[in-house]
Amino acid sequence: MPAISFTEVTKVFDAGKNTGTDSGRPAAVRDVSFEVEQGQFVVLLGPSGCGKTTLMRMVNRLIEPTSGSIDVEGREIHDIPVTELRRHIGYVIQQVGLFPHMTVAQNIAVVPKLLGWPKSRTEQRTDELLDLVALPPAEYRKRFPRQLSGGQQQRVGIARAMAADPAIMLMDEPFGAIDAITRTDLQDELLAIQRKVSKTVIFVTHDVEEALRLADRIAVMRTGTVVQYGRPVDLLTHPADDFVRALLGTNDVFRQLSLVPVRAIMESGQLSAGKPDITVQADQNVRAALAVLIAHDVQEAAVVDKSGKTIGRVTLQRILDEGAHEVAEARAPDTGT
Amino acid sequence: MDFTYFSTHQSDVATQFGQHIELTVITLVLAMAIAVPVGTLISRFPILYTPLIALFGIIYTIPSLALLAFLVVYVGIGRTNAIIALVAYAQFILVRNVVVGLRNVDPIVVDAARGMGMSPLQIMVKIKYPLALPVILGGVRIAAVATIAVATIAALIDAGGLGQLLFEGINNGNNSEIEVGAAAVSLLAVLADIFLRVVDHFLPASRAGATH
Ligand SMILES: Nc1ncnc2c1ncn2[C@@H]1O[C@H](COP(=O)(O)OP(=O)(O)OP(=O)(O)O)[C@@H](O)[C@H]1O
Ligand SMILES: [Mg+2]
Repeated sequence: MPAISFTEVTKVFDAGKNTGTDSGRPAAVRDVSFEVEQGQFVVLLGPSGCGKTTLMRMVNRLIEPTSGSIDVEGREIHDIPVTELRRHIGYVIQQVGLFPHMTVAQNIAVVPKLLGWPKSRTEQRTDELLDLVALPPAEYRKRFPRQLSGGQQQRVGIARAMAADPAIMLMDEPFGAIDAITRTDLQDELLAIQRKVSKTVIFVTHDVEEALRLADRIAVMRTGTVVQYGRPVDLLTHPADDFVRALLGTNDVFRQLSLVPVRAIMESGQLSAGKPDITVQADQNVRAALAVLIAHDVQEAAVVDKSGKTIGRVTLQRILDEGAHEVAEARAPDTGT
Repeated sequence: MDFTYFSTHQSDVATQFGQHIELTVITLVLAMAIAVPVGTLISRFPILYTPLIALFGIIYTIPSLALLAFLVVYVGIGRTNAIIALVAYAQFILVRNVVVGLRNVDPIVVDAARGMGMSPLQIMVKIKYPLALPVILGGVRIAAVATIAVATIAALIDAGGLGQLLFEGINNGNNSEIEVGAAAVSLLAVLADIFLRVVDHFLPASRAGATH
């Protein structure tokens, strides 16, 4: 069962306010259908105003769809009392929206309190989460939001959304207002957290690099519709149209290779016996792996995880295929468009 | 300054001081009981703002003596009359501050609360009122000082309080009595102001620097 499924979801703001059903306004979201599997990190990517926020906010019913249906864990969202639905979906926004009159700990405790958790459990969970987002509890528990930096506030925002351990998280440009260096740190932390707790995440951004770094699946949106939905590597190698190609900057092969992690093109199996033991990290990008292969003048290298355990192999041939494919795609004449 | 009146009439002064505080506290409690729901209603339906604030504004500009005299026709003399007048005066300041306080709550924060699954009532009680409280309390502070001042005049219609010293002193040409009365009213106003500032200091929203 998919964690979230969108079926022909359409949103027209102010629909029906005028006479007739068609208000004459363009749909903010039009006829969107796709499924998000359990534990997947899905990024909604697209230019400003294309309907990312609108689509995301329909999941927790902060915006009501005009037509179509959304199922969460197999239940239509309107079959669940709205407050209950929202308490079981984590929600993080760019402006963070911490409650300024509450301490960090009180902010994180809001949903557990609404759910009636006993105090001791809530306190334990708060400390656990502060550790998870790298804010030492002893130091930060009693601070007010005003006493935190932007990056720290967003960490608390993420901890607050995760407080009651929701299976689903909605994140609307959570790092959009944060400087580039801190943003990269937060992305790394988010990835690390995601490996530990593996939630189903819908993450909105218009930053291509951020999308490629974080996503298991990317839904590319344009003027209210999803134009392509798939793995980052598939979007890079098989862009559905010129819009996707231009958005992802598919023309620059090296740039693309530097954005794809080795694990995405890793093949299974061990190195052939007798080959020198060259290794690359699974989290390294393909461009770095290519450099390693060239430097050692070898055809393949073992892929290892953080602990140094071999989990697969990467071959020069596969990298060349990926690259050649992109070049071919990028150079292909604009047939029919 | 001649405070001889105080040494000879300590218990009278204390009684009137007590009456004055009572009149002020009753007024503020009743006034808040009206202003908070009215202000909340206005913040829900902003279209009500202009007519209601205009109405309270008009009441606010009526000279206090005229209003007290007018009410004598309907409720006679005494404390009830004074309290009705004082409560009516306070509405302008209190309602305005309730509305402004609620309006100034960051909509992003309210959106976050909604997204987390708070009901409209919970959002009101846990988020909006606490965040609006410093502004509301600011209104209470101004209203308290105004009420203490106007309440002196209420002595004319037998509502008790420190005004009695002033009017008695004027009638009897007793300067010391007037000075004691004036000093006591001023002292009360200053104390009320300080007290409410201290309360404000301890509000979570003020402590967190959430509003200013
Ligand atoms: N409450 C609303 N009322 C009317 N129109 C709206 C409302 N919210 C959004 N829209 C419109 O719907 C469209 C999609 O908006 P949305 O906020 O979903 O875009 P977005 O992709 O999140 O953009 P951004 O990247 O700038 O946040 C826009 O044209 C916007 O003007
Ligand atoms: Mg948006």
